[in-house]
Amino acid sequence: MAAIEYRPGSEADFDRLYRDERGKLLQTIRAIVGEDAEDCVQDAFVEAFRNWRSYRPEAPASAWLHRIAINRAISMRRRQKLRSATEMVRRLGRPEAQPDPGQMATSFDLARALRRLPPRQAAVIVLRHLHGYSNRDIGVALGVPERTVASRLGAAKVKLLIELGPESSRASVPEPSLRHIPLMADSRAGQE
Amino acid sequence: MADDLDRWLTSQLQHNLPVEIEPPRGVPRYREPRSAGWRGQLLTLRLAPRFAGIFLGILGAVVLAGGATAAVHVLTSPAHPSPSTHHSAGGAGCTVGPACFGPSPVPPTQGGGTRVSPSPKQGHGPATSSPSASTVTGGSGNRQGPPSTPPAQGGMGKSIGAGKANPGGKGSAKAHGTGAGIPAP
Repeated sequence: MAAIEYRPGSEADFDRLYRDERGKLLQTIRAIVGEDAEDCVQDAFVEAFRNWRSYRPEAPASAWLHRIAINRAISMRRRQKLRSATEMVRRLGRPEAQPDPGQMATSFDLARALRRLPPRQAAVIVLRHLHGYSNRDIGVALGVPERTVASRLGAAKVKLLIELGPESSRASVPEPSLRHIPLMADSRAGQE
Repeated sequence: MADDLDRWLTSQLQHNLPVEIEPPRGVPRYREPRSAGWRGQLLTLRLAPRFAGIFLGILGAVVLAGGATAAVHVLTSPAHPSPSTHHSAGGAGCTVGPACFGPSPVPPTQGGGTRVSPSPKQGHGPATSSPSASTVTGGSGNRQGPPSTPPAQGGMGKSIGAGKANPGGKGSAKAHGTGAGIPAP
């Protein structure tokens, strides 16, 4: 994670932070909440702006922002679940809508599989494999020790491959992948 | 092999979560003017109609509840029996003999037997306490007994009676009486 200097309280620096980090943040949050990511990221920036004066540059600003945004995303995911449960109750008794054939053709969707993971595990996967953060940086972003990051990463990969299941075999996933995942998942990570 | 998986994951993530190239449109939300809190909204009277509605609603509910309680109370309270339980000490004058001699213990003695009554009846009848169902109970009047031996010094008394009306009527009677009583046996 490149440490770029941002002065806490400086509005110009916050604008720069917004321009630099918004894209990355959007990618991470999209893996957790899907289409609501834009809203979630905007909310996170509003909250960050409100606390910009109290930001301490001990941790990189990007990690600080990620922590705020991931917490927002977790809340939003909860709301989404509630909403979907309500939808399901409303649809009770009605014929189920047929899936769109076009959508079925492109059903192999890693993003969708990520959204089925616990939010923090999805975030770890994206931060590590998309943004290239080290475990240490991820630990700073999530506010957890490095060891926890490693175990979450392992657990997330296992779950992801299980989620992808038959779809992963259609794609060119390396065959013996599951055996080579470092299974450091402790019980806490599994229960997330 | 684990590297294979990592590479595969990275490529799939790049494919499924593309970077948004186009710059954000419009003003970022954190730059938008903050909406005033509820106090501010109240001060600018944006919330006033809502608050007024809530207040009127609560007021209406209280009034309705009070009315309902009163109605229930009226409907469920036991009806009073017709015979008047008149509290009026109907009549004036002395009924107890010894007190009739000498000056009356009641200071504002006034004779004349005037009677103020809202009832259409205004009688000078005996000061009996009749269990009448009349609208006015407790009539009073002058009472003059037969000549006493020795002749009774007319005691004077004042009697204030309040009659309890039977349903449908109410009244109060106030009587001043002067009577020449007979000493009690």
